[in-house]
Amino acid sequence: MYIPDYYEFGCPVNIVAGHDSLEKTADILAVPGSSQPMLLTDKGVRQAGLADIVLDAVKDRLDIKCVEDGVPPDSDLKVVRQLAQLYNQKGCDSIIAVGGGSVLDTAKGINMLVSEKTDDLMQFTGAGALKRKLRPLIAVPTTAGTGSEVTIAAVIADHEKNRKMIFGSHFLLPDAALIDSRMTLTLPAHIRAATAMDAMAHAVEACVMLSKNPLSDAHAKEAIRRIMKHLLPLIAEPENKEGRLSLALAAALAGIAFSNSLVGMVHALGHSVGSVCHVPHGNCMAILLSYGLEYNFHKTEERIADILFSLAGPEIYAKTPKSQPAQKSIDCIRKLNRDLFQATKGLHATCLKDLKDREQHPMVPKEKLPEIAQTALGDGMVFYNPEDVDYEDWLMVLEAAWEGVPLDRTKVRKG
Amino acid sequence: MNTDNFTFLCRSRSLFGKNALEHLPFELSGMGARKVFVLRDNASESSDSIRHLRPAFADSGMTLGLCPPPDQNSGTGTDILKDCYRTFTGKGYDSIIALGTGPITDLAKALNLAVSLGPEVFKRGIQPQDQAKSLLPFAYLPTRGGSGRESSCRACCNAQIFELPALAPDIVLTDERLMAADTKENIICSAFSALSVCCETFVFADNPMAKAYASAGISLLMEHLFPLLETENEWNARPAAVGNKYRRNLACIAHASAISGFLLANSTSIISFHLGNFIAENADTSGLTAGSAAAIFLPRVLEQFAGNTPALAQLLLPLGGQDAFSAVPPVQQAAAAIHILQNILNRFYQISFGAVPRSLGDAGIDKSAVARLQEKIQQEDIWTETGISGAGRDKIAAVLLRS
Ligand SMILES: [Fe+2]
Repeated sequence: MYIPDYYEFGCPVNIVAGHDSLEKTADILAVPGSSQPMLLTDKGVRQAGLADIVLDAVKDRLDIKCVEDGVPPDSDLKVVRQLAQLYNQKGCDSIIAVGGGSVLDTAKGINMLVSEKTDDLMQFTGAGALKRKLRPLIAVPTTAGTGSEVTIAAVIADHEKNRKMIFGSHFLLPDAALIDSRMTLTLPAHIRAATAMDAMAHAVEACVMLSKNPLSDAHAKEAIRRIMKHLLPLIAEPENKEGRLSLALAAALAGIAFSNSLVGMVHALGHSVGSVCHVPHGNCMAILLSYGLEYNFHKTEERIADILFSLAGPEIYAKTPKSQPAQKSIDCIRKLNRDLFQATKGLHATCLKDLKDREQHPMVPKEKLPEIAQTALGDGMVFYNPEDVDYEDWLMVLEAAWEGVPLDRTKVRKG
Repeated sequence: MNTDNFTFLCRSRSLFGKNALEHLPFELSGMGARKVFVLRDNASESSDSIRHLRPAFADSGMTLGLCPPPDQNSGTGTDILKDCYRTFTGKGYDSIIALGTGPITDLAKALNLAVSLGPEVFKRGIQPQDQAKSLLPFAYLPTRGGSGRESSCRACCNAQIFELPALAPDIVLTDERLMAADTKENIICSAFSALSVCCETFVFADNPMAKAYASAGISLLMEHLFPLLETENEWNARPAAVGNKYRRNLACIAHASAISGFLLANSTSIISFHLGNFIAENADTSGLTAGSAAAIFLPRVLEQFAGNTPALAQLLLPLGGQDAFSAVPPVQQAAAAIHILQNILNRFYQISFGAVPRSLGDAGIDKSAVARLQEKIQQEDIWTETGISGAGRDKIAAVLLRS
């Protein structure tokens, strides 16, 4: 077991999981004396009928003051301010956030404003800016991927000034994460695949990156095992509620792991592909994860080898010669992507050039790669990557990921 | 695995390792603390931990108030608590550090209840409306292994038990420099207690978060207990102080013990742990610690309640590691896990020249004493809080006999 010289670990979110955990919402809010929540969601989640399931689960027990589905796909400062005003006008006393990352980020933003009775979010950007508990916030994740129900960060875009503000505080954590198998029943297969691969990237990077520790390892390995066991069968049979719950828990486990150990170049590069070409985060993670492992191979071979057991199970682990487990781990992840490509009838892309938008246009034209590489240079996450990365390195990785061919590891500069 | 409906909450942040102490002022100030009341026990005196505490806060702008170790002879627990309460409120402290294990953490939690909810809480007890209240920032800094209760959400104050989620420490900080020398008996008691809690949780909890903590706790113990006890000087040089050389191992055991406390806060029915405490209190034998007793019961409890289940087979993974797990055929994994647990006892029996018992018989508890204990188990209502039913108690009685 690897124990670093120093590490921190914790996740004070009350995890409430099950096939009917939503029915516990009123009881959980009753503890801090709240009964008049704002239900926050986005249009897609509402159209899928998920907000109705939540409303049905709390009817007669909570006085829902307003149901707001105006959260944009990319959380926005102006929207946060407007919704905070609405929260106050309607006399809400808590928030139930039903959705993915942007809904939760927006909820965290609203919670800062209404708890601290201000309309200026900027004052909370620095470390330690929040000093006390905020109003009750319950997170109901609907994607089984981002893990934002258990992470301390909130990213809120200021579209007027064209910048992203990052907030980080333990006080931003939800009071409870309600993980309910009903919330992921209607996920389209390719989104289920992509979001689960986001969770996979969180778990794998948590195991391989610099701030790995025994507790994050234990969470991450269990997440990997669950994703390998349940993801493919679920694509074929989404009605399996045990599988859905297990996958949603895997996302939470992976979220706990990576928020306590930080992610590296896969996320740095993924953010850049996302911001330059508007590719959904999960798709970026699915494609780039194996390349991140290959790039850092010479520095982290032992760690990559260590996750083979969770990826492939005891039998393959036992039969893999001692010189090969790390490469085998990478092969497992690539194979999972190929299997998902088959299972989703080609909707789950395995390389950047195959990513298509709704009109079937390529999302990542090859000539965009230099711009992506340039953007990635400025991503903070790269600081935590085991091996240094410069513009040429980024481009080399991107070109391989674009073609879908393994990285030529002999070309990686070893610093 | 059945994952229908569970809840899991671990309020505490763990800070572990070299120079962990230097991170404490930042963590505490992040929670609004400015003036910290430090409670410590005699073990922390001997480990000289205060020497490290002061410099860690030197440039923090925070004030430390160091309370001398309470002298148990100078008055009752209530007197000590009242003294602390008066100083705390009189001088305007806003947060608490407990440096030490066992009673000192109970005192810290009681003090936190008194200053946060008002001293009348001891008369009225915890009320439903208290569940949502936050207490003042509280950091627990172990200097030894502990019982695991320190990091749970329970406090024992003058034989009264208080349980509240907010009673769990906000921070559990384990820094090897704080580790005090300890006897092998104490170390084994802590480690065995933690092992029992972690193993039972791993096998019985349908809860991946609890399992993850448990698995990390088991691995920490398996890697750090044996080197600590096997390579040190002869056992019979008792009480053998385990000193500086092994502080890292001691810190890992304290870390595992704290993890077991997080798990205790999420489960009431850790049978071997409760049974171990029950026997240590009720058996007419000196020298059988709660931890040792728990470790004797653990393999029998697992056999009796988990049988040949996949969950028991999986326990081989944290106990033996990935290589050992993969080498053993699935049908043999449960038995292999039990074998490892039994072997730990056998090995310690050997290296302690019989001082660490492998069975109740080794501890001097004969068949007639077991019969009396079995009877007591059937009657005592201590089991109601663990949620173990009549049928479960029959099984526990069987566990006793086989142990
Ligand atoms: Fe991600």
